[in-house]
Amino acid sequence: MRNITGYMVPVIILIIFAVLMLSISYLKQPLAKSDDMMQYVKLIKSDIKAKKWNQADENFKRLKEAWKKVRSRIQFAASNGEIEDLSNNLARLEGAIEAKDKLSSLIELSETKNHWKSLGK
Amino acid sequence: MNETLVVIFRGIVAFTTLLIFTRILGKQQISQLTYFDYILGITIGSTASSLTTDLSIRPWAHWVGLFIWFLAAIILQVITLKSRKVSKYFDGEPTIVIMNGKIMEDAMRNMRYRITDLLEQLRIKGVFSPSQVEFAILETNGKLSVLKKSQYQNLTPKDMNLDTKYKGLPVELIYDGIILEQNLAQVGLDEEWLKSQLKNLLNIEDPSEVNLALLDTQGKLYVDKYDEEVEIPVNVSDYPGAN
Repeated sequence: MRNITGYMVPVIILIIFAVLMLSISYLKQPLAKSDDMMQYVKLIKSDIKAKKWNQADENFKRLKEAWKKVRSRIQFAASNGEIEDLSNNLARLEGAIEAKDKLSSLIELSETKNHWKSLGK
Repeated sequence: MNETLVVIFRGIVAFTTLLIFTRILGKQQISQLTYFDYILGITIGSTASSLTTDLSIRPWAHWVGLFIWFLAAIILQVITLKSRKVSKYFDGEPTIVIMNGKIMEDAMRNMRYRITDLLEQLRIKGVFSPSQVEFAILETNGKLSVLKKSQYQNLTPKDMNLDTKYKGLPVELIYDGIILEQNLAQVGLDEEWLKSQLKNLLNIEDPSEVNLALLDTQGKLYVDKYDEEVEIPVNVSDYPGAN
């Protein structure tokens, strides 16, 4: 019995580590409505297309909050670069919305979506 | 991203993984370190270090790298254990470098092993002239095994036909102030006996005063106390204060 435990404990520890390191795909999914990033990206996109800049700004603030929550969850399994890339996208998107620049905003939104998809892949 | 937290998490993962892997790889790593084992150790250690601090890559990629090197080492260990041919191919063979006092230049050249290295390793073994050597063999781990000519070998009790008493491994009875019941039972003694010995022979009231107590195969008790007053005859330090 002691012998089996001796083998099983390290194996279980290694499996836990592997699961934790491979968990980005699950951890990036929304746990509540407030951290559903892709939902906000969609809303912002439609706001920008309809030139509702105030609405886009409101939704961007929610997107930023959602990213804060998701980032804290995935930081242990993701690389620094992946997190930095998405954070930089959001920073540029903020500027583009402030400048009411439709073209730049849509470019940044598209890149944000792309970075989001590649998280955990 | 909280870098400190992430490094702490990765550090725990790397430390534990390395601990498990090296434990499975076994004692061979330390006792029979061939050149390949040496490189293997460095690579695994370096990957574990990157896993901890290189945040630019996902921990999973580092971890898989670590696992692959560990797996390759295990597979190699199993194969070399099963097949002597493969073992010879990977680890090489011991090579005779001195035979009957004569240095084997060709064998040494093949291994790119210098005379100065040979003389140095001989000196470490207490041999100052190759003429005293019957056989010197360079082992696969780079160490030199030396068999001296019979006239240069140490005199043993057997040479003098002297009877000697059996000498085995001493048994630890107290370690860090704690009596090791299992070891006491192994030599057929009990706590009462040990306490009486400590009191009668060394005037020790409590076993917790003892750092280490050993019983040798002749029944002689060795005791090292914590508060021993040892007079230091010479101070080897050149400077005052701690050294």
